[in-house]
Amino acid sequence: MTANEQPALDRGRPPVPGPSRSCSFPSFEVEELESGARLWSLDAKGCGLVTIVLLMPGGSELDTPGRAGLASFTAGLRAAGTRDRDALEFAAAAEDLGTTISTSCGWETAAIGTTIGSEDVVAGLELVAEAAAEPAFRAEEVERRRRRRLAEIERRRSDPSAQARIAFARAVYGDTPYAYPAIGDRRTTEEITREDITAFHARALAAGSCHLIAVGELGRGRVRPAIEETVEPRLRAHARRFDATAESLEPEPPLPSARRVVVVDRPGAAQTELRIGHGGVPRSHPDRVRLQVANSILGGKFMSRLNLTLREKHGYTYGVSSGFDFRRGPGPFVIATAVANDVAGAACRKTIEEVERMCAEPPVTSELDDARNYMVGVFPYTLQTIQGLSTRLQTLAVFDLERDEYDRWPERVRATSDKDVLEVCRRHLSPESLTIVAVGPAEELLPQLDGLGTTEVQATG
Amino acid sequence: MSEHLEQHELQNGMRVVLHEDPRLPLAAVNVWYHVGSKNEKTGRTGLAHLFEHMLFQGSANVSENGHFEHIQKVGGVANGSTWYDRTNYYETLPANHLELGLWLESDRMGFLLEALTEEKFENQRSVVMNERLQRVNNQPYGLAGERLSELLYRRPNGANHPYAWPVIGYMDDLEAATLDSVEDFFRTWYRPNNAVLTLAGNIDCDAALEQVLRYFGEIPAGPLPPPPAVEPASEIGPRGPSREILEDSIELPRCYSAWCLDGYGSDDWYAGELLAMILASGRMSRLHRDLVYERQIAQSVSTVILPTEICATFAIVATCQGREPDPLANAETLERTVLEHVEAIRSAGPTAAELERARRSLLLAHHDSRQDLALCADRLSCAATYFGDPSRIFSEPERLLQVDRESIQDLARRALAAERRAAIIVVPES
Repeated sequence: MTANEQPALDRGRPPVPGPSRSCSFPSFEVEELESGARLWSLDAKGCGLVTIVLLMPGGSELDTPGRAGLASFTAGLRAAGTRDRDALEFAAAAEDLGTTISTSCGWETAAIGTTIGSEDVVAGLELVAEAAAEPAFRAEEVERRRRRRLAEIERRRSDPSAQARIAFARAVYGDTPYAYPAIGDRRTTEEITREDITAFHARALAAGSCHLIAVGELGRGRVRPAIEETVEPRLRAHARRFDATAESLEPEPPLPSARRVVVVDRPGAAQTELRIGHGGVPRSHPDRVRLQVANSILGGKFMSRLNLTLREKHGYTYGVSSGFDFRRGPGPFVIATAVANDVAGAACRKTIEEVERMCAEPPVTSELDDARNYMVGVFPYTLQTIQGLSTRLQTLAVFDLERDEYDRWPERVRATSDKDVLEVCRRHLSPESLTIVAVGPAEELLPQLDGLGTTEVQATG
Repeated sequence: MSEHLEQHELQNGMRVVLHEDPRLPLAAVNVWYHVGSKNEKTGRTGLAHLFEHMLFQGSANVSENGHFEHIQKVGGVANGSTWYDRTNYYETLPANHLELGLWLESDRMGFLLEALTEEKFENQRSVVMNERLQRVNNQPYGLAGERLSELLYRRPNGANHPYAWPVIGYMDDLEAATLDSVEDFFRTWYRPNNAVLTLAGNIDCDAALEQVLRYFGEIPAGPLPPPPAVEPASEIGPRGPSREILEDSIELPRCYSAWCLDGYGSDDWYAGELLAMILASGRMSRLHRDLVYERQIAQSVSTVILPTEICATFAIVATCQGREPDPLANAETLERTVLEHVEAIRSAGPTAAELERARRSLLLAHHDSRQDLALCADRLSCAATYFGDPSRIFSEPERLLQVDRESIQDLARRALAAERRAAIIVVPES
C-alpha cells in the first residue's frame, strides 16, 4: 500500500499501536566451579566484546565505625599491583589491550571487572583473577591510595550534593554501617593500616562466595576452559564460603517519632540541595515490587507527582526524583532535588504533602496503569548492552534471587493494584518521620523551614 | 550487528535515516535540528536551550506535558538536549509504538506555536534558571569552564566567536528572554529542511519511510539564515591577557588549559582525540602517570576534545591533590608540569606504544558504543547532519587508524602553542 491509499491522517489523536512484541530475559548458564565459585555465562552475539565481572564478599556493609572506608580502600587497591606485576606493569597489561581493570565496592560485594575484545578474553580473565587472588597491597601503593582518598574527602566538603548525601545518611542511620560514606572519613582513612587491609582481603577472598559473570561474544565452549586455565588455579586455594554477612544490619531502622530538619550551612550558596526521606526496607522484602510501583507514581519518572508539582507546576527545580535503595539491609527511601534558595521551605512542604497523599488515598486508575506500563515497557532497555545484562545477573547473584526473577517481574508489576499501592505506602512511608536535609545558606533557610520539625544546624564537613 | 542503513530526502528537505537492528523489540526515534547556541546572539544567549524546553510543553494536538505522558504510558523514554551546533530530541519506544514517536515529533515540528503560552514560558524559564544554578552556579568549579571559553573565543575586536558563550546561557539573558523571541527562534530554525530524523531498531525500513512521509511530508520548508561567519581555527585563540585566576568555594586548586583545533570530522580532530587519550586516559597515560602516580601532585587529570562543528576546544584539566601550603603555588606548579608534557609532545611526538594503546582503546570504545540503540541513532543523526553521510559512524575507526605519530606531533606543534592557550586557575576563596 502506498501513502496515497491510506486513510487520511488524523493528527488529533495518537496513532493506534501495532501488536506488541514480547521480550524475555535471554537465557544464561550458571554452574559451580571446583573452587566453589559460581560461573554465570550469557552468550550475546554480535558485539565482539566480552564483559567480565568477578564479585566477591567485602562490601561496605562490613565497615565498622572505627574502620569506616576499609572495604572500599581494600577494593581499590586490588588492581594496584599484584604478586607478579607492580602497579604500572599491571595497568600496562590491560591498557595494551585497549581496556582497564576496574575495581569497585558496593554495599554488599566488591567487584573486579573489565570489558575486552573477545579475542583477548583469556588475558582479561588472567588480570581479573590476579587482582582478586594475588593483590600485593605494597606499602607504597597503600600510602598513594590513602593520599588520594584523603584528597577526595577534602573535595567533597565543597560539593553540595555529596554534603547532602552524607548528612542524610548520618541523620537516618545513627551508627550502623549505612551511616558512613563508603569512603570513610578523614580520621578512619588516616588510621587504617596495611595490616587491616590485608586481613580484610584475606577474609573476603572466599571462593565459595564468589561469582564470575561473563557476558558477550563468548563463543561455544570457549569460556569454561579459559576459566579453568586462569581463574580456577588462583581460587582453588581459597575454596571456602565467606564467614558472615554484616552483623549489624537491622532488618528495619528505627523511625524517629517526629520530623527532623538538618541544615548544613553553606553561606552564599547559589541553590539549596534537599534530601527528604527515612529508612526503607531490604531488597528481600515481599513488598518490594509494590513499593517500586508506588515510587514510580510518587517520584520515579518524569510524569511523577513530585516532578509535575515541583518542576512543571511551580518551577522550583530542574528536577526531583524519589527512590528506595534496596540493599541487603534496609537502604534509604529518599527524595532528592535542588531548589532555588527562596523556595526551599515551600518545596519541602509540597514534598511532604505528596508523601502524605500517597498514604491517604489510592492512585487513580490511569496513574496506576501508566506507572505499570512504564515500568514493564522500559525494562528491555537495560538488556541492550552486555554491561546492562551483566548488571542484571550481578543482582541475581548478590541477592541470591531465583533464576526466573526477570521473567516474573512484569507479572508482579501488573498484579499491583491501587489498594496494594495504598497499603504499602501506609506500611513503609512515614510523613511524620521524615528527615529533611537542606544544604544551603542557613540564614535564608531557617525562617522558611521553621515549623517543619526539630532543627539542627551543622557546618559543612 | 546489522548494518542495514538507508538515507532519504523528503521533498521538503528533511533527511531521513533508517537503520535496522532487530535484536530487541525496541525502536529509537531521534531528531536533530541543525541549530544550537552558536546561532544565538550576544545578549540573547540560552535561547536555543530554553526553546528545547518549550518543545516538551505541548503542540497543536498534544497537551502540556502530553509528550512525556504519551511516551511514558506506553513504556518509552524521551528527552532532548542542546549543544553548540544542534538540538536533539529523542525517544526510545517499544517497537510497536514507533508511529507514536512520529506523531509527536511531527506535531511539534509542524504545529507548535499555537500551543505556546506565556504561562508555560514563565514556568520553563524558572526551570532552566534552576538548571543553571544546579549545573553551574552551585557546582564546585562551575564557572571556570565558562570563563575558559570566554577567554579562548574572544575575538581581537572584542566581539565573541559563537562558541564563546555557554550553551545554557547567562542568567541575565535568561531573565531578559521573551516569548516573542522564542517564537521567532522556532520560525527561523525549526524547519524540516534543517532537520534529520533517524529511526533505528526493530523497524521495517519501507513501512517506516511511508509513515514518515505521512507525518512529515506536508510540513513546509522555509528559508534558513546563513551559518555564522567564522574564521579558521588557526586564527582563534586569546588576544591579550589569556590567563585568569578565579576564586571559588572549593577545596582542591585546579588548572585549566585550552586551545582551539579544527572541528569534528577533520584530520586534526581525530589526531586530537588520540592525543587526548595519550595525555590523560588511563593510568599509563603521560599526565596521569607522572602527575597523579609518580609525583602525586595531582588528584586527577583529564583531557577533553569537544565534538563541535566549526572548530573544537582541546582542554586539559588538572586538580591538585592538596591546597597546603599555598593553593596558588600548588596550582601553578601543576600547570607548569602539564605544559612541560605538552611541550614534550610538540618536540618529540608520542611513542609507538602510546599510539597503539590509544588506538586500541578508542576502537574498543567504538564497538562498545554500538550496542545502545538510542546512542547509535544519535550518532547516525550527527553524521547525517554534519557530513551528509550517516555511514560515517561505521568508518570512524578507519579514520582513527590513519592517524600516525607524525600527525599528532604536527598537530601539537601547530595548535598547542603557548601563545594560543587560554588558561584558568581556580583557588579556594580567601
